[in-house]
Formats: sequence, structure tokens, C-alpha cells
Amino acid sequence: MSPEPVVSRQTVREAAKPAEMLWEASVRAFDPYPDRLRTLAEAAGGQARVIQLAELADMPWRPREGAREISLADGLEEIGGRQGPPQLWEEFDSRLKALGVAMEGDNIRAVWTAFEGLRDITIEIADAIQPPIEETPPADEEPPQKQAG
Amino acid sequence: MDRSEPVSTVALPDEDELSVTEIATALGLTPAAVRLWVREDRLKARKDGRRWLIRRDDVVELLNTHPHLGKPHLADRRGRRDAALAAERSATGREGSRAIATGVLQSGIL
Repeated sequence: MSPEPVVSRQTVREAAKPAEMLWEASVRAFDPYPDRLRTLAEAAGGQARVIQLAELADMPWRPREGAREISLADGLEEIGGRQGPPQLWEEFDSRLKALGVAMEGDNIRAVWTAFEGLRDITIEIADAIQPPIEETPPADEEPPQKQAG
Repeated sequence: MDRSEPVSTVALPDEDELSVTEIATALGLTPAAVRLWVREDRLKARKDGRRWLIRRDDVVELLNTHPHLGKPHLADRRGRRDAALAAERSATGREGSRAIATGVLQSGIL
């Protein structure tokens, strides 16, 4: 008898709903750069987490025919409108393609790994366009007062 | 292609003005996504009591410029994908336009 999966399918279904909503909104949104990229990165990370959960729940990945032709559209296509370093966008295209190829297969780990790759390069592009605000490092703590006497 | 013809095959309710929920339902999106377009001035809306109303013509215009947003009416799943791709190709006038990556979790694991 096979052991119980560490994550229930119900948990995956519950996590999938908000992640899918964020993904749908991010690929269809019209946010200006770099906000749109940050939203997309967050959504890609969300997809990766849910698919990772699905793997833990022993759920199979169903191959999606033609996925390597997927697009994220509206300003993210190759033609026109892209901001940021071209070499990062080349990497973005490469990782998007890799995601599509992974989705056409049945290796669930390859799919969530590819989503993580897309997330990371998207953050890189967003940061290249608008570097994130560095948080002020916390001031050194005062040394404890010596007890008098 | 005649640009005056709508490229969208979405079945919107036959009213002059539509609510956010009606648009979201017709497009297969969440109301939050439609409200986002309103906030970003992609769609103009007016307040009617507690509801926001949007002119149907404005929605059609948005769909004609972004045909992949629409959910083709009464088509099966594969047909919807093909129709969206065909509509996008028609709108852009170029081959190689690609389907939008939606429904990833739904088709992959759920």
C-alpha cells in the first residue's frame, strides 16, 4: 500500500484558485512597466508553489499540447514595447519557451521549476528598469548599559 | 481584414450598459480583473447606486483591440483556443501570434 501523500488534493485545489486568478489577471493586465512585471513574477511564483504542492499530493501533470507556443501578450511579446535590457528579454523568451516545453511533457517538477525560472528572470528585468528601494539597514543596537555599582 | 467588423466572438448581454459582473462572466474573468481595467482607464465606468456600469460599445472596442480577452461563445475547449488564436491573428495581421497562457493549473493538475 502506498503511503498517504503529504499534501491533500483539497489543499492543492484551495491554493490553486487565488493563484490562477492572479495569473489570469497578470497575463491580461495593462499595468505599466515595471509593475506589470512584478505582478507577473508574483503570479509565476504562485503557479510554481501550487504545482509544487500538487507534486507533493502525488497529482500528475497533464501535458498541454502546443504549450511551447504560449504567449503572455500585451507588451510582453517580442515585437515592440519592451523596456529593459535586451539580453534579459532574450533570457525571458528562452525561459518562457522552456516553460511551454515543460508543460507539453508530463514531468511535474520540470513545470514548477520552469515557472520559478520565469519568475526570477521577470524580477531581474523589473529590477533593471527600476531598482528596488533598498531598505535602510537597522541601526546598530546600543550596547547594553553597564549596571552601575 | 475589414477592421470595422468586430473580431471578438464573445456573447455580451444585449444591453447598452453592463455591470462589472456581467462583463466578467461573459469574458470568463473575475470581476477584479474588470475593475482593474476600469481603474487603469481601459474602460470607462459610471456609478449607478452601488454598481459600476460600463458602456457595451466600450467593451466591444476593447475586445476588438485585444481579441484574446474574449471567451468565444458556445465553443468547446479546443475550439475556444483555436478561435482565440485565429482572432488574434486576424487582428494583428501576422502569423505566429500565440495563444495566451491561461488556465494553466486548470488544464495541468485540476
